[in-house]
Amino acid sequence: MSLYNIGNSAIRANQLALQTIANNIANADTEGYHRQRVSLAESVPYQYGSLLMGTGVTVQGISRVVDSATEQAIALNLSSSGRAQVQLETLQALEGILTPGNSSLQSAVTDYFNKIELLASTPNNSTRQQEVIAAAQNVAFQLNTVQSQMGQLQSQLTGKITDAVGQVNTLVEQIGTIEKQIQTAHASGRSAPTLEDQRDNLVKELGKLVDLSPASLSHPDSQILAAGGWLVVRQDSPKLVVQQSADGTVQIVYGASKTPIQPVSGELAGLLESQQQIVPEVRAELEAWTRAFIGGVNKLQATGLGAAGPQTLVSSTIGNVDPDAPLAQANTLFPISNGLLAVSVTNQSTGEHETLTIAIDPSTDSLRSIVSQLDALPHLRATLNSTGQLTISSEAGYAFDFAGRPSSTTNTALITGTTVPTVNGVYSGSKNTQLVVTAQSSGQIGVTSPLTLSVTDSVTGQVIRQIDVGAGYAADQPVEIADGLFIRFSTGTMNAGDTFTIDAISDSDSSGFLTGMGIGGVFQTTDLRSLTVNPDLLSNSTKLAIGRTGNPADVSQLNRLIAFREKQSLNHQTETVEDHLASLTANIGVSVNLQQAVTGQLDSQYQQLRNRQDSVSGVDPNEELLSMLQFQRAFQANARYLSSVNAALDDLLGLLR
Amino acid sequence: MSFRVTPHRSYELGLSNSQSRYAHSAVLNQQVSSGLRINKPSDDPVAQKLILGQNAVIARFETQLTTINSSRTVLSEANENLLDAQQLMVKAKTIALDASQSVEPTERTAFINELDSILSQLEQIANSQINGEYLFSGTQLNTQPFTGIVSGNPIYHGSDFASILTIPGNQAIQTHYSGRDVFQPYGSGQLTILGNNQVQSGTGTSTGSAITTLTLQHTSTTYAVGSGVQAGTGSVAGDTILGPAGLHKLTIHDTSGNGSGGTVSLNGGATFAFTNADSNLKITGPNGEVVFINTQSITPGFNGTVDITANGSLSIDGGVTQVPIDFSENQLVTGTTPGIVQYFNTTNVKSTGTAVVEPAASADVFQAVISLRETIRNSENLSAADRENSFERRLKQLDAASDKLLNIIGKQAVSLENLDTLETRVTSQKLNAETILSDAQSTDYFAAITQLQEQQNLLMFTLQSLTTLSSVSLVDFLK
Repeated sequence: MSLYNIGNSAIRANQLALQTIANNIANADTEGYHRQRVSLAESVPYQYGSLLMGTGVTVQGISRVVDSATEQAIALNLSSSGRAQVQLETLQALEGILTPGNSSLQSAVTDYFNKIELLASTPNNSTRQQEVIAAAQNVAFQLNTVQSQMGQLQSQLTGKITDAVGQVNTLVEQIGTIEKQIQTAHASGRSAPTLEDQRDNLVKELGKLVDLSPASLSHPDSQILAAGGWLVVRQDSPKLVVQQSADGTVQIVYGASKTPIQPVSGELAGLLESQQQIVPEVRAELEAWTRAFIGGVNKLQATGLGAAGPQTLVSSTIGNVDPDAPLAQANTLFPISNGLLAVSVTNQSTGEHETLTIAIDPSTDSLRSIVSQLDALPHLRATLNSTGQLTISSEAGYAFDFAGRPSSTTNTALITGTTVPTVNGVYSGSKNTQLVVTAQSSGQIGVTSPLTLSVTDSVTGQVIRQIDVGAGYAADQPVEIADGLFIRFSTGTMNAGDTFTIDAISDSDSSGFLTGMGIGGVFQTTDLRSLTVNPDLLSNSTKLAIGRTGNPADVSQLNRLIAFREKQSLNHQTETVEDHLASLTANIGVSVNLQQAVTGQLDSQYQQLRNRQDSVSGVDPNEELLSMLQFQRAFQANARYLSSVNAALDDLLGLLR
Repeated sequence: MSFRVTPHRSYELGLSNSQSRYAHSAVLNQQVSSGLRINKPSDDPVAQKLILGQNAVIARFETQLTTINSSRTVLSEANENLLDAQQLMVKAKTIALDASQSVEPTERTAFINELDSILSQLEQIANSQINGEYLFSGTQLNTQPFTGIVSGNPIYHGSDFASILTIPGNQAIQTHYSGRDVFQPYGSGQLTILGNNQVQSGTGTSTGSAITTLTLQHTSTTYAVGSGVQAGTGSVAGDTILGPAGLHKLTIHDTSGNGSGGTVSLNGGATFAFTNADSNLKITGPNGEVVFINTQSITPGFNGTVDITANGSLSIDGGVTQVPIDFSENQLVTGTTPGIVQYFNTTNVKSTGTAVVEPAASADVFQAVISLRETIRNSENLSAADRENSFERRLKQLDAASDKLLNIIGKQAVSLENLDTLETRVTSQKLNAETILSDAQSTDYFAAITQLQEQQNLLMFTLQSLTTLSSVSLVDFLK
């Protein structure tokens, strides 16, 4: 019956081939489908006498047409793309948050400084003062909005990480299950191209989420390793778990040992990097900008004077400072450095004030020691409450400020003559110093010619000015002795060698203590992420620091704010605060573009790989149709053969009738 | 080996390319419809930074223009006021010329009334305000700068320092001038002393511009020991001599030989008889100077000359503040009026009396008018010659004050011109910044529309080629 067997084997083989072709055509557009081919082989021959006779055709199996190297490359490309795409989405989200518009942080800051400049031209205008405070509120609102949106973005990323980890766990389980089915089929000598397609698709899905070990992918029989090799893809693999710490950072742990894992590619890697690095880094940059901006603005507010004049009570807004630890170790939001703090105490009934300075060394001084020094100043009280909050108050009838203005009276202990010098004005020099005024000759103010005084900078030792207050000098006429500082002499005498000193204070809080403690600034914050405007200013705009003397038209402090606006203090002294904010925004744009280039390149690679994959594994219907014609013809030929055999046998059987 | 491309892949690529074309078209469409080339930082980060910078610069220029305008308003208002003040000085000078020729009391009264009116107007000018801020009180914008102008005792309460407007990158401009600089500068200049030639101006630097009356008052007289003569009971109030020991001399002759009677003369003048009963004998000297002496204890047989020390005091505030005369070249005298310090040479002072002290005060606007009023009023009863001299000084003062005002007006005009220049420059800079912004930000419509058309064509080609590719199939040939 070998005659039938040969035909039968051929009919069966062609039928299977046609079925395979039909399956190929049916799945021509199925994502992840690899075309299949029937493998035909000659059946085992049998010996007929001295001859070995063929026995037909055998279907060895149905297999996928696959280029493993390309498939592996696609899986790795998808993993890299997943990471890059998530990073791009995160950067685009940040870009959206920071995109400038009519109402943005950038415009709010510019508006704030512009309002300051307008106020400097009309410092007495209460509406302008209110405008400045409103502009400050807008800055706080815009910054809070940006930080809030960034916080929401981080929360969204955390949620996405949790979802992605869930998907990874599901995929690992599914792959493990299919892998087992494939192994069973292979063990029984059957091929399982459909299962292999399913497995490959799931592996690619997994690769989109986490990195896959290329070595494990290149060996079909080895188990796939993922997530930096920590995750073995099989049915009983331990689950990945998301752990979130108190500060909001997220970690993924694996197995009973809770080993933290860090995927190097895939969406999960991108999400983790976004959540742990990209967003925090942008927030950190924004916080650094906030520190610089608020630090500058608050210092000038705290060390200035508004129309309301000196104050009688202030409290720090930053608590929880260890009162006994050196200030350098107190982790204040704004750094406290080695310097001085000048405090002026004013007698409210006479208007006279005395300015005293406190030296602050953060490596040795604690908050408590500073409080003790402040408390020891005449007519001043300084206390610390249980949470480390500092309160400074003055005795009844007195007020205080930190403007560093010269004392109303000078120390005349070393003046043997009868004249009384007084100092006023606003020192506009760049560094704190002490000026020593010494009479070079004896005589009568406004009479003796000459009656020369030398003014020496005690820091440099240089005589910076010589003034003649003898004949031609009108008593009580102000004479400039240093940048912005004026001195007057009453009628009387001065003797050679008579001397007195004047504290020329340019920076009355060179230590940064007031800003560090959150005393008297425009903005209040405890974390650089959430700002409020000082409620004292909201309730009384005349407390807005205009100058350093309290004179309505003294705009020295506003001018300093304008100088602060123009100072290139950031990014290695190359950018102003406004420039730096613009750079932050532009840098996000650069990062987006860079990431777009990366994703574009990966996409281009993917398309190339897909082309290559398609050239090997893709279903070409025309090609299949030609194959179909081929197998159809073969089927017909074999059917004719069987028909002929049958007719021959009929003829043979007819001989028997 | 031929490279296989399946229809499925062709469709995939076609779809991908179509989406890419469409996305690019959408971007171009947004650029065209919004008019902005850059809608987010990644569109062009460098340009985005430039745009942010230029937006900030433009907003700042707008602020500066507002500042310039408000400062110009203040400065113009101050300028207008000072021009009015200067016209008042011209009017005062006319009055001075007319009054110097006038002898009619009623006419003088009319002149005085006119000057009162001028002073009243000057007071209004000096205390003028804009937006609730005083124009001439320096940095003390809320403090009324002057009081007492009409009453003749102007006092400045403002700041010595002018308000400065600083436009960043440009020069500082004074807006609110110090009233002291404008109307009442420090320093009196040379003092002219009328009515008592014994007192002369000292070499010290006097301050204050007001005309004062210097009162030389007697306080005590003492006599050198030996003669037994003493000050009489009416000496303190009645003696008119002043001078250090020896400047005045009393000559006594005890004609009785026992101190009971004789003659006495002052400074070689007429002799007066005395007895030992006289406790308050009035002696008059050759120049009318008077001393009251007590001769009850004349040393018997004394014949000779006695040195007299006559102490006194100076006062420039009607006796409220009395400064002992030290007969020096630079006698410092202050009064209760703030800011007035005057130096006198009292080395030649011999007798009590009063003197009118006129500071040159060549630039004191108020004092020029007040002094003119006092000269016309002539309450000190100056002689015709002194009065004529006084008018001459008044005219010089008025000219000097007027020149001072013109000087300030000139400075203001320069400042206003600077503001105009500044405005032009800032406007130009703003325009440049707007041009840069527009170049960086605005859509190039020609380029955008051309590109949009190109993308549309490419999209059409993509779709057309896909259609063409799929139109041929082996199926069509299978029967």
